[in-house]
Amino acid sequence: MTLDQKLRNKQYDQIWQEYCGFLDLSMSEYMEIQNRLMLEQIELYSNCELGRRIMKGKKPTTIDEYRQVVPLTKYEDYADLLLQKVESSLPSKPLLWIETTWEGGKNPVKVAPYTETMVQCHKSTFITCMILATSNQKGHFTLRGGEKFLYGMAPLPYLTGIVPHVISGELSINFLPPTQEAETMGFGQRNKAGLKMGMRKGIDLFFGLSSVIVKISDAFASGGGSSGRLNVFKNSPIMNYRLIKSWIKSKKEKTPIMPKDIWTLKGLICAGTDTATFKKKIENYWGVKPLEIFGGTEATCIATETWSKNGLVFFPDVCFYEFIPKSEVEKNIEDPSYIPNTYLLDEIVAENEYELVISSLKGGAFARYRMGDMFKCLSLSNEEDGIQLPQFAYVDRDPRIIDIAGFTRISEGTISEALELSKLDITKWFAVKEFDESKVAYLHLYVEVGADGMRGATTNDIIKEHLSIYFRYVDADYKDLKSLLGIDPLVVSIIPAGTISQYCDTFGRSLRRMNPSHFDIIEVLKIACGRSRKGVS
Amino acid sequence: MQLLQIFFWGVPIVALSSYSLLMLFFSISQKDKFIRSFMLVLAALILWTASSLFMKLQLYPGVLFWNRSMVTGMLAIPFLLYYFISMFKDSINIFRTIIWGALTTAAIVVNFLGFVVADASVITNTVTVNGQHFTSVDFLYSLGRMAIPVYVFMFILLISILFETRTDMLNGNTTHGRISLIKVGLIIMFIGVLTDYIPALGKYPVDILACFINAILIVVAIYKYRLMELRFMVTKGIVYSLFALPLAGMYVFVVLFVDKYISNLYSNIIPYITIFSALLVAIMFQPLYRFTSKLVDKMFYKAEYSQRQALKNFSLSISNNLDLNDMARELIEAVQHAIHARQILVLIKHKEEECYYVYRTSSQIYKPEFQITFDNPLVKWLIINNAGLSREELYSLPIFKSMWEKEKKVIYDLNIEIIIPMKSRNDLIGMLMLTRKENDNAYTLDDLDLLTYLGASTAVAFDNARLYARAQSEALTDSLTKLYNHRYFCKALSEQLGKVAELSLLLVDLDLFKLFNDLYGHLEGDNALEIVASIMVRLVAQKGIVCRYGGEEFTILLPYHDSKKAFDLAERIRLEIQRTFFKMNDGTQRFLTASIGVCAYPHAAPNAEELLNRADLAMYTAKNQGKNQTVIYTPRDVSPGKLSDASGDDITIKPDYTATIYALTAAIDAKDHYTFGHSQRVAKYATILASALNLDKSHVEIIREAALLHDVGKIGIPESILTKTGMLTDEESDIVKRHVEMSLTIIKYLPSLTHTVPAVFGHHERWDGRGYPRGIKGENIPLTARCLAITDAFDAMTSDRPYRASLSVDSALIEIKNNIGFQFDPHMANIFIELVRNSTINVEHHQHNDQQELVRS
Repeated sequence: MTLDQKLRNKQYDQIWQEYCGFLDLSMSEYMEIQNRLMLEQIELYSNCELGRRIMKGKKPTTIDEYRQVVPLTKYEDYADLLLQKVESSLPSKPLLWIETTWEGGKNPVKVAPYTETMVQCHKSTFITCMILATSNQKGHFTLRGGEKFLYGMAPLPYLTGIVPHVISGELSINFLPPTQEAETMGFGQRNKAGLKMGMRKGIDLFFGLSSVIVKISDAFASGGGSSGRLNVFKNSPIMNYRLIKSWIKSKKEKTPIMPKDIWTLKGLICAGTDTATFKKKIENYWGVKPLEIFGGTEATCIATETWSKNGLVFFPDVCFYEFIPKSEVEKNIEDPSYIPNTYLLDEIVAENEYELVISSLKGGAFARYRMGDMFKCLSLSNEEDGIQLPQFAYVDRDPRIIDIAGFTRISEGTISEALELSKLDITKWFAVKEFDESKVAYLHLYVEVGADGMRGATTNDIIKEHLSIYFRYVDADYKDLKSLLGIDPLVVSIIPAGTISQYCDTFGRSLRRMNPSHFDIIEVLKIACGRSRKGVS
Repeated sequence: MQLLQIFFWGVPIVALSSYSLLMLFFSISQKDKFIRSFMLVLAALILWTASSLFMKLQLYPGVLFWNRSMVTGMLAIPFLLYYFISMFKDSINIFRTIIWGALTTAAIVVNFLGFVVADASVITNTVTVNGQHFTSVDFLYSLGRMAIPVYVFMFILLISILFETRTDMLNGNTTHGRISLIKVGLIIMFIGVLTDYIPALGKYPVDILACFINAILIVVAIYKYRLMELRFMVTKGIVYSLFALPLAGMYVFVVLFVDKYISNLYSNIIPYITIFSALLVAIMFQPLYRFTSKLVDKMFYKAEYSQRQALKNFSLSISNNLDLNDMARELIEAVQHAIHARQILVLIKHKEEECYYVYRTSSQIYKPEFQITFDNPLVKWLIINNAGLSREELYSLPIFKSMWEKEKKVIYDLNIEIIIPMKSRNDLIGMLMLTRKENDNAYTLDDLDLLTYLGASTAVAFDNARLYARAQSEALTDSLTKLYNHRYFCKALSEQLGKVAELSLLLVDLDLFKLFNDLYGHLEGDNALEIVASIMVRLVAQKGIVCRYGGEEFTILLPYHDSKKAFDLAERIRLEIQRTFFKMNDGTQRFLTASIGVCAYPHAAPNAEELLNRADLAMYTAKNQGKNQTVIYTPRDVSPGKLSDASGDDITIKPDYTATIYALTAAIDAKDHYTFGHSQRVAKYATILASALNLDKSHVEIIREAALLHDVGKIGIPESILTKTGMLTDEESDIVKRHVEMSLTIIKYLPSLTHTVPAVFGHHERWDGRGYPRGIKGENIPLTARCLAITDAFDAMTSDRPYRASLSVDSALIEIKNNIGFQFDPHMANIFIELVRNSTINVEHHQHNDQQELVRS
């Protein structure tokens, strides 16, 4: 029976049980699912070239043995087989290949194989997200099928493009714009078109990148409640009524028209870096508490908030999860040869930050793969909601990557390449992700200019202009920040030459180029102020 | 006129009784929101019908009151139906409910205030036709000012319900099946109420009939779509009571009728007649009562009836059964009979493999091969919950997220709908899997209850059968090697010989195993036996039966194997044992080998006993030839002419124990020279006889050795007795007879000659069982012993003894012939006679002068 049929039969309890029942699992039941599915994956690995390579020709019989045998991996460990799409070497035959950019990688993109079971599982997890998005109490949800879904996400071959294709047989959803049309449009065009259709037909559900949702909402509010030229004759009467009502209210109260004045959403799903900083704003604009979810090309959608929308819970059957404590991550950054310890979900402690390591289940390719995402464990359970599973908050990418608004991921390699191409005489540098007053993230690049540069009177603006051009060149997503979100993500500060060397001499250690610790930056800036009367410019 | 009267009174009475009964059923049942809302509808219907009836009966307080009461019921029904249908669809619109409710209340108030029915009266008409008086009652109403608006409101409400149900159907909120009966009922009711406004029909209770039909249709809809488990509410007692009432009525009526009729004829014997007729009628009603009882069972409890029958039959048969296969078959039959599933699978626990495997299915030809491992979450769930698991639950319960894809696929591919645990003593001993029903209907709660009951009761029986089977198996299994034991081997050997035309037997004996035990300890010895057993099981696989014959001896029965094929397999086993133990290098350099004897039936042995003996002989030959080898027992197919050659050239004593034999025979010679020569001659005759019997070389050799040693025990007999010329006393005779045991005592200290024991020990046994020392008879006497018995007796007769002179050859042969079937094996004796007659055996005379006696040979 499809979800549509179950909804028609009002089998709400059964639906909740099927999709959200995992939230009632105890920790031991949860781990049993994890362990058992991991053993299945080990079995699949042992029968394929990739698996044999990763497991060094052994066949672990327990999870502990698997964790001992298999090292922590990065995409480079799979690149030769995956980029060539050598299906015969994989644990299971893939149904499709999902793509994403490979920041700082050897190839512009990285691809991940998705088996049929993984796709089915992804469908199920996304339906769970939809149910939870439309829920504010355990067991109660308002998803009924036939909803108008403003789907502001990328089409295939990106991960977010799977859902519109696979969900149709299970649940009738009117995507705005319709999937086929959406796939021919660019990112911005798609969002605009969807919103326009929403004006005519109404919107029940919305899924988008948090930064994009905020940008759209800002534009909507400042544009007087319109997402373009309006044609009242094409709108449904009820939409016209709402428009007029909110226009009158706006005029009366002298406040901008908010999306919530026009649409009454059943649920809003958001994802992407810095979501935490955008959530309140999104709720103010749309009138519903957004449901944050987390996923990645290698992992699929692996975590969702629940009905109270205050903490992520990992799905038990999507990936096998391990966690590297932040202290171990730091040690590993300092000394790349250091092998950090990992801990399982039932071994972590609350209030600590961890880097996520996943092993694919259901025939996926990745084993003990470092996702490069940092999570904070908020609590080991949610007593209020009766959930006995750890609750997480997404923190950021790991310190070696600077992710701006979920659009671009800048690595040390990206910056080095841009600096090299720019031919600017920059001798030393370090980069930090910072936030402005409106909590918008940006990349702050601190540079030391060499003697040539000084002679040429290199200024911040010149460096910024140069680097912006080359960032656009080396990172395709960088330009979208400006064009779609209107964000200028780069701030350049020049520090006196020799500052970083002096720091190293003083403290007897080198300074990390990407996201050095807050206190290291303070020390560097203190030295910079001491070295130049101008300090940091 | 009469029919109209029946209709006039019958419809309200039947409707009222039915409503009241239904009300009774519901009021004593467990109530939920459906039942409560339907009870409200019933209450309104009762009010309407009862008031109508009371009005017709013109009961107190009067026609007008009952009329208004009737209209109240009529007015309440549309709203209460609206409320019930909202509950039925599980979507209640509070706003509309309040509006309709308020308007209905207002209409009722208006009615009681007299604005709907202003007045009501009765007109009684009496008509006389052909001298007969017919009375008819007509009711006259005068409607109030609000009558039309109130009726219009009522119709609007009815129409709106109809429209709403239609809209729901179109929107897909409810299925056509669920609502169609209710819709039809509403239309009938609507038409029925309309007839009140047609004068010709209005005076008859068409409206009440329509409402009655509507109520029946609602009950059917409730029952059919399982909104209420009516069968759980209507207890069997109530149903019986319902049928008992008309039965009792009929009974009273018949008794009264008989009583009245007979009393007119025989007024003086009324009391007796009444009692008699009551008894008679009661007896006559018995079949009717039983029929009714069955009818109730079959009609009202139709599904349950067949289920109960299936259960009854199953319980009876399973309690008398300890055969797992039979029980599985009966369980499947019972489930099939009661549930009608397309496919039923019985899975049984396999403790060693840690899984559940398909033991039997409802199909004769289809048996899917799959296993459900102990760690499958399905197993855990069934153990914890001890309840049936549906396919939906399998997909929806989070615990099943841990199922492997291939585990899910099995369930999916087989279309399994229900899984029932078979749990006994907290142990899940099996499970029952059912696919869809033949009629594609969903499984009901009743089905699940029945299946759970069947599963539980079968589990106990299965467990007992399993324990029994295990006990049986343990009785036939060697506890160390887990091979079949000696007992099973004997049974299997005789069974196989009766079944197959060709069979080979391997007798495997581990070489120097005692030494192995002494060197490495018994624990290592046991370990070695287990390893050897596993090697044999692996290599023999399905081709034969491996048994532990005893100690370090194993037997392998190979049906349909000739000696060549058997030899090949034996060699593979031997080499594998050698390789395995040679490879085992834990610092001790252990080495263990096996000697194997092979004998094939019927080519080399005519029966089970000889097959075993000859395989044993072959194995001994292998031992004697240096161990770690396989020897086939090959019957010698030689012509009589060649026998003497064989006896001369082929038959030689093995050098390693030649000395022993000669030492012993020399000892006899020293004590009793006569006996020494006798042994030599007997050896010669027996060797030729054995060759003529087509025994193989090693067999012949054993007979020769046995012949040389057969009287070795005489060393222990006093010379005075051995050389006594007169008749022996009974005591002396007993002492002479003891030489057999003495021979055994001597030989048992010579392991290399133990194979001669059967011949030596049995050479004084007689075919008719009157011999010594054991008194065994016929073919139970070892072949070698039978061979010696003839040759020993012949030489004794043809030799001079201290107590008698020798007989002539002819006389000796006649004596032998006379004792065929008494003292000697008939077949062997005849061959021997023939061998002597055709001079294959050259008789040597040993002269002595003494009396004749056969027994003291």
